[in-house]
Amino acid sequence: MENEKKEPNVLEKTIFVVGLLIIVLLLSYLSYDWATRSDAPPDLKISTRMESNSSGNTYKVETKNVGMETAKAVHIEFNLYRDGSVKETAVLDIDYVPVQSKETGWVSFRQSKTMTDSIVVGSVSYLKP
Amino acid sequence: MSRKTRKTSETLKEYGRGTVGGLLFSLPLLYTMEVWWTGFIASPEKLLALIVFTFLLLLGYNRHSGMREDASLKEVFQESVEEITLAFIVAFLFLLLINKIGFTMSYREIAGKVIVESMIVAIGFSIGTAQLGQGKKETGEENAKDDGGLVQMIVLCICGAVLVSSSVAPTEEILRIAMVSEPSHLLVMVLTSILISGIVLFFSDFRGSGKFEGGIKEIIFHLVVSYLCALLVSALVLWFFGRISGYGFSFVLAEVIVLAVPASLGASAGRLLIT
Repeated sequence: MENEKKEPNVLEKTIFVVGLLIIVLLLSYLSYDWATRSDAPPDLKISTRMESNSSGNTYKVETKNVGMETAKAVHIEFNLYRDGSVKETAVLDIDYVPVQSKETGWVSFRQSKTMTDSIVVGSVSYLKP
Repeated sequence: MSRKTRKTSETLKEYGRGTVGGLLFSLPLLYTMEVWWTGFIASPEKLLALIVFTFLLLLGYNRHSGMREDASLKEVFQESVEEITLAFIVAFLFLLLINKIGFTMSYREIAGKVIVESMIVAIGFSIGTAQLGQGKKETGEENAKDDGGLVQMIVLCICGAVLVSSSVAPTEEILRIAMVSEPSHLLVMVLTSILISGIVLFFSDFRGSGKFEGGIKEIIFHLVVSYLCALLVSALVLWFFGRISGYGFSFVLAEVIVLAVPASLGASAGRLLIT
C-alpha cells in the first residue's frame, strides 16, 4: 500500500469547508434554541374548512402547534351543530404534532351539509412525548 | 518539500464506499418511525450532545482504525468533518426520498430528523470508507494501525456497540422486554452477554481475535471492558431516545441490561469486524 502522504484535493477542501459551516450553523441554531426555550406546553391551533370538492359533508382540519413542546397522541373532538344543538360528533387522532409544525387531516359527517350550520372544536387532549 | 495532491477520482471512490457503508449500517434506523419521532421530540441539548458524541467517536475511529494511515491529528479532524458532512447530505437526501421530510415542515423538525439519522450514517460512512475498499482485501491487511492499547479497544468497542444496539434501542420492544423480565432473566442476560463476547473474542477464530494470547487475566480484562462499553452505550442510547426519564432505577437498569445483549455483540464481534 502506498504510504506517501497526500494533500487534500479541491473536492475534499470544499466538503471540509462546507461541512465546518454546516456544523457551526447547526451548533449555533441548537444552542440558540436551547437558550431561548421555555417550558411552555404544546399550544394547538385548530382550523377547519369545508371541502367544497367533496360530495359528502367533509371538513379539512389543520392543526398547528405554536407551543414549545411536541404534542403526542392528539385527540380532537368536533361537534356539528344545527340551530344550537349538536347533531353529530367526530374525532380525529394524530400521533404527533411537532413544535412549530402543522398536521392536516379530514373529518366526514353523515349529516348532509344542508341539514347543519356550523362545526365547533370540542375537547382536545394530548400527551407529553 | 511539496506533497502530491490526492486524485479526485480516488476521493470520489472513497465517498462512494462511505455512502454505501453509511446506508448499510443505518438503513434499519432510516426506516424506523421511532427514530423519525425522536428527531422532533429530542431537546436541543440532546441533539447537541449527539453531534459532539458522534464527532468524538469519528475522531477516535479515524485515529485508530481509519482509512488513511499515519494521519496527523489535523488530517483526522479534516476526515471526520468530511464524513459528518457527507452523512448529513446522505441522510437528508434519503429522508427526502422516502418522504419523511418535506419543505412544508418546520426547520426544527427537518434539522432534528436529519441530525438523528445522520449520526449513525456518519459512523457507517467512516467504517465503509476504511473497510470496504479493495486495498484492504488485496493486501489482506487487518488492523491497519498500530495497536493503540486500551483507548483503541474502548473506541472500537463503543463504535461496534453503537452500530449494533442503535437499530433496536429506539423501539418499544426493549421497554416491553424489560417490563416482563424477572431478576433471574436479567442475570441470565448478563451472563449470556459476557458469554457471547467470550465466544467471539476467544473461541470462534473471529477475524482479528487471534492476537489475544494472554492468560486468564487478559481474557477477563477484555470481557470486562467489552461489557462495560456495552452497558455504557446502552445507557447513553436509551437516554437519547427518551427511554429513561421518568422510570425508577431498577427499571432503567433492566432496560440497560436488555439492550446490552445486542450491544455486547457489537462491542465484541462488531469491534473486530470494523477494526
